[in-house]
Amino acid sequence: MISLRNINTIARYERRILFRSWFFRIFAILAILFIGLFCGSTFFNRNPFTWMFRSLPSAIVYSNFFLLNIIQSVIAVFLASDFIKRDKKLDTAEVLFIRPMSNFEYITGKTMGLLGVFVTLNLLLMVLTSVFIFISGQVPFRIMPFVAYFFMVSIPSLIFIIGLTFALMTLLRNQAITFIILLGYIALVLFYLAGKPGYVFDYMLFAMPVPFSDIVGFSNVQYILWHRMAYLLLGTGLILFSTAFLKRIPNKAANKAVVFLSTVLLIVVSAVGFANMIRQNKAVVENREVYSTLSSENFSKKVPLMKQATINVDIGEQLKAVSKMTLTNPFNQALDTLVFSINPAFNVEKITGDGHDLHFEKNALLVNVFLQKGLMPGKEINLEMHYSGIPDFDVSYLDNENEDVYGHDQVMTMRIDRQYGFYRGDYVLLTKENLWYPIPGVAYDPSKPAIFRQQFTNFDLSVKVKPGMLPVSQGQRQTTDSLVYRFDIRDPLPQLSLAVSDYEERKIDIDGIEVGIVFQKGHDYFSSHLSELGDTVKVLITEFLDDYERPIGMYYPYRTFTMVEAPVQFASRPHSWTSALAQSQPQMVFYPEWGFNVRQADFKSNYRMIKRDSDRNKEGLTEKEIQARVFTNFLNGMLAEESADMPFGPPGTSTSSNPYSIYPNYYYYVNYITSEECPVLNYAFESYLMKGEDDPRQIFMSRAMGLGNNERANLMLREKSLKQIIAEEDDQQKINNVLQVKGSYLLTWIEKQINDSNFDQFLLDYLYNNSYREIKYSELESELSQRFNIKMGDFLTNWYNESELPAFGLGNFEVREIVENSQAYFVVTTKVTNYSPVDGLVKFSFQMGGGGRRGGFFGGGMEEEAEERTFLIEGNQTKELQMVLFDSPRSVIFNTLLSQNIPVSSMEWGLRSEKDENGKAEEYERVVDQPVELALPGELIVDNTDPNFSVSDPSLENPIRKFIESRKTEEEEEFVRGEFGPPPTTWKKVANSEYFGKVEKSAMVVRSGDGSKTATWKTPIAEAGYYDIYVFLEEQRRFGRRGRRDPEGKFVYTVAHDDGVEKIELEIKDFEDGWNLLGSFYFSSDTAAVVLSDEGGADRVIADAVKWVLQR
Amino acid sequence: MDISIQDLTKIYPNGHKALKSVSLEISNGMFGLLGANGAGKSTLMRILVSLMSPTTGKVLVNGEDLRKNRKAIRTMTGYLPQDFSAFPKLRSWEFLDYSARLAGVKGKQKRRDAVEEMLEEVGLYEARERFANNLSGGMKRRLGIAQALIGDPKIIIVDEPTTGLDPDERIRFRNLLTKISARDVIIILSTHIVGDISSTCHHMALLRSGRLMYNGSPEALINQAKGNVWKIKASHEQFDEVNVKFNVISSIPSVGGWELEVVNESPKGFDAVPIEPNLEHAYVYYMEHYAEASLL
Repeated sequence: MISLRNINTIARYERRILFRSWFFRIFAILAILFIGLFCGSTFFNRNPFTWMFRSLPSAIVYSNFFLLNIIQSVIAVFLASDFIKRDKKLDTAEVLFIRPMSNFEYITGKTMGLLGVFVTLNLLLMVLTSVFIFISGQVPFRIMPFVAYFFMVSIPSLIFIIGLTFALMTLLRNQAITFIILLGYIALVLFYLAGKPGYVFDYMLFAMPVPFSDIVGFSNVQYILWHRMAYLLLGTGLILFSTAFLKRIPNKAANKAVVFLSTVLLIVVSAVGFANMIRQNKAVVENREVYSTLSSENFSKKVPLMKQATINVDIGEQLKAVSKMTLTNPFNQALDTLVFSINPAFNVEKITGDGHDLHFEKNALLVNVFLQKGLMPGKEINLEMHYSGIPDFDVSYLDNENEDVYGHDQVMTMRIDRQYGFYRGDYVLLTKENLWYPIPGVAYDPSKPAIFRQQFTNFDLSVKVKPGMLPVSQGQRQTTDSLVYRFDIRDPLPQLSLAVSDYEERKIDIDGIEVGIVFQKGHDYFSSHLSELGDTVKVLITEFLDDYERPIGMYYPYRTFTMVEAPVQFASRPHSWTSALAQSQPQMVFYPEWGFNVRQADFKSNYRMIKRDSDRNKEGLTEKEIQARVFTNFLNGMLAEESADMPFGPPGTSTSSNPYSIYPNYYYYVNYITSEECPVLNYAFESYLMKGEDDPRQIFMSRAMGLGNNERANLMLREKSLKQIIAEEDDQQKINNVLQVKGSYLLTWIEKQINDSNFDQFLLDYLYNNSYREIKYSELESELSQRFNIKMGDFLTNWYNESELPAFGLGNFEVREIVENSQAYFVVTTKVTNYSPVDGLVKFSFQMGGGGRRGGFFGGGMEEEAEERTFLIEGNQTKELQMVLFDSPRSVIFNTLLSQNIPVSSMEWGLRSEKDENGKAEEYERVVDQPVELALPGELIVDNTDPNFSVSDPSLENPIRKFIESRKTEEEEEFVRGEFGPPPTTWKKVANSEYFGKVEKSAMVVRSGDGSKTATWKTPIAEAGYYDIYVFLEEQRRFGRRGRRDPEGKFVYTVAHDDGVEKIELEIKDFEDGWNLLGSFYFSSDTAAVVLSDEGGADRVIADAVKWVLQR
Repeated sequence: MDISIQDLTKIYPNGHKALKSVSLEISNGMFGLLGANGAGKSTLMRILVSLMSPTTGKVLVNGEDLRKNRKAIRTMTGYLPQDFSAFPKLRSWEFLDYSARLAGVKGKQKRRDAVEEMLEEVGLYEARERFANNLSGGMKRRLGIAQALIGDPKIIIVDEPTTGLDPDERIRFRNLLTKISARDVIIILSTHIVGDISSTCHHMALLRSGRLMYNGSPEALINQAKGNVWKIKASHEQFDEVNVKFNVISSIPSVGGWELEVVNESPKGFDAVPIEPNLEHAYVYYMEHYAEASLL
């Protein structure tokens, strides 16, 4: 018999000994302090970065357990190994060993003692966290996350690591070696193994995302349970193993055998657990392979058009549905087999056609329905499909890599897994991606990017739910009986989504659009922040829509718009044919629960910020006005932003589309243009019509971040054609970037060809008139040709297949104010040269409001529309351009769209006009002979891209450095981040429109050092004489609160001239934008050189261009 | 209570023979186990408390085989190892409480009484709240004996308990053992200090190089040495000679030379008078004569 009393006794005293060890005490105090500070700083500091902890109730719990778990693993290793060591060293153990307890009781007691100490610490930290939650009142208190993280994360991790330590100590009998091995193991897990597929090696749930949703809890409870059980059993097995090999004679020899057998049994059971996890992961990969292959094989099959579909769904233990489809054959030959896709886990029970049972075959996601007589061209058939099951979400995003689909998103310390749908008793969320209803044919071919099939169907949806549940879908919900809801959808839609939960709803009518928000009961955290608004909400939403729609020239096409709260794990992956993400469905947006990680949903801190600004600027905003701004910011930030910017991500992070954007409702869910030669055409239109104006903010950001997405796209397009990129590139986001650049170029080109300012309106009208149907490119082409008499010819084919890019040089701007007929005109003249043999377009966008008006941070006046001009510059051509504006331009953005230029767009600030009495206000573009030259006669300029420029870094000769550098993968970009990034340790290129350069405005940058790293500009001197030497520099601006202080340090130049060598130091605070004089020196005709070294104590040393000017 | 040790042999993995066919019968009272360092005493004791298994032979406690009834026998055993030290981070009373719980003393009050009684008995009551690492050497040893005695064990095995104790403490310690030995218990005391045994034990055994040399009462051992212990008055010149020829047990400087006690059957040629042997003399005599004979 096992004596609990003995176990308890040993546990009690072992615990006492551990509690009294300084090692543990220090660790515990540090942990409490750390977690306390962390909770305090997140809950009482309302900056945007703490919003994630102030929104999702479990976030702080997850984060605390995550940190605790890593630290306590290390501490547990130390304490556990110390424990066993004590037994070996002291005769103290012998006076215990001679006692009548069994070995099992002894080791179990020890384990319990050790565990007890950690459990106490865990409990303490949970109490601490709870206290913070209660005191701050920021998030509601939930007990479940505590329970879940404690039992699922903490305990199994501890038992496993204790078991492993005991077992290793028993085998090795050396604490130091055990400790080293285990620390190595932990490091290996943390840095390498944890993230392996299925997180099988991730014993402490370091890499495995386990966010606890307030709606659904853990997303994959079953898998997590397997995982935790496997480690718990393995840990227990290892503890028993050390019992079996404990250096103490057991009470009975038979006991040892029992313990040994139990050890083996536990380890075997845990191995079964691990095997099961591996099998599950493998099955997912294999299933997806099958789904992908089937999709690819069947994509090109001819499919009927689903004009009408009535879907009746019963959301019970499993989904039961009948889908009645009206199908037409749009082809001119009969269809014998009708192909559908449906969720592979669904069981299709019956299919009837016009009332008769039909023969069908289901293979994974495919259903082939065989028609005896075939469906004749133009004819209709009414097909009824009965099916049921719990959907398999692995069918989602077959066009994305598995590691992305099953990857996670990282929000500070939190890892969030990606779920693409939910089907559980208390929560359901389904999108077309999950194939929860049958669709004709296959939606896309996973092996061919950019190709997809879209059909617009008149859906009629009825949903039966369990009592207390509320379904949300497209259209207006009507109750037919207490549990059945019908959705009146009216407009044809390309896809349907459905969410069912214990939802609560608020809605208002705004000019015939029913705008609503649907959220989990008890999740209304926003009303109190908008309490003063009342009916003003309607006005604000109307204004928001007006502001959103004005620049794109389109109108919201539906009668409902709903924001629906979804679990934090709900995610999407990009498709290569649209920027729309699944969070944005027709007529609805799924927002993450509690507004998690959506900065604009943080009403509290936004309120505070606006109030602070209002107080500071003495605006005296009323409570209502502040709330109105908060609400407008929320709408703009959440629904109107194009991209979800991640300004603090690692370098090379591409910004992704804003998943909550309402833009898909304007184009992607309404229009569908197809072209066989150029399948990306639809996406090109989608991108173009979104038409984000050249945004000064993006130029500012790219200055800070190095390259922007446009530059990255252009760098890719320098090497490959669009077609090649689409075929070869794996990174979806990169493809999207390229498509946006190319799409924008295509439409700008057409617009330029037409040379008709009505092109935009024509296009919008055309698309409006052809909504909800497939538009073939040939139709559009003939329409363009009829209307504007232009021939697209093979432009589209070239656009798709060619890879050469133009390269532009831009001359200076001259602005003159000319008065004609008492009307003031502002005439801007400049020159552009295309240095390459291929044609290209350049676009100027003028921001108005010069004349000293001061704006906000980004120059203000963002709400004003920019004046734009586009010019075609043929290969090797120089044009002088003159543009006439009605207002004084403040700044201009020169956008080369698709070119070798880096940056793609550059901005010229502070344009100043001069009065011109005699000039004529006329627009023209003239071809001229003299290309744009940056050097005037008598000037010699060497830029960092010239062959006469070189850098040297002796530290690279160091073999270790050499090795490290050689190991760096190609992932690293050619360009590093600008001002906001850390300076590189060796010379790297950095792009910035403020730098000198003809086509590529860049410089070389390095962290300052001991003077060993140098940059050298050389030039042959043809004519002996005195030369002024200038270096091109950028004034060091400082932003933010710490502002005004002058930057420290200097740049140290060395000039070798005829009379010797001179060292010249330029203080950084004295830098001016552009050319800075170094001095005048005499050079005889030979090679002259200027050397910049990395000494001088600046944060970073920048080498751009040097100019020699002969004194006459 | 009786312990029967039958033909016990222990060979360590490195080949060292620590015990060679040792057979012994031990019954109630104090039993002394005497032998030089390395004689096999500790090995024997560790086998008796089940810390070690013998290579061959067996131990019967009240007729029960130790190997088959370890739990029962462990329940009735108290043990003080040679180098006892308590957990540094436990207080004296806590350590005793820990031992008492494991020894099977049930009931909080009963255990508290037992702990307090034991603390009083070993004179640690004043130091009951002190951590083990703050106890003096003697106190530690007393704590050691206290933990061995707590729970009223029937078999008490103490390994070299008096090493390092000052004379006062040693006497106290012996008295304590004697007091306990009056109860119905077996106390096995292993020592290399002859005085510990002569003053406490009625039975003893002598071990040398793993072999049992003697088993009987201390008196019988002393009797064997009678007539073989002499006091020699030696001049300074003779001192070295005596030391070479005889086994000298003690040497005290006296007027004009030395008074030496030697073990020898007849020390001829010196000014020798026979004296009454004590256990120490007997031990040396016995080791000299019988041991060598038995080793042959």
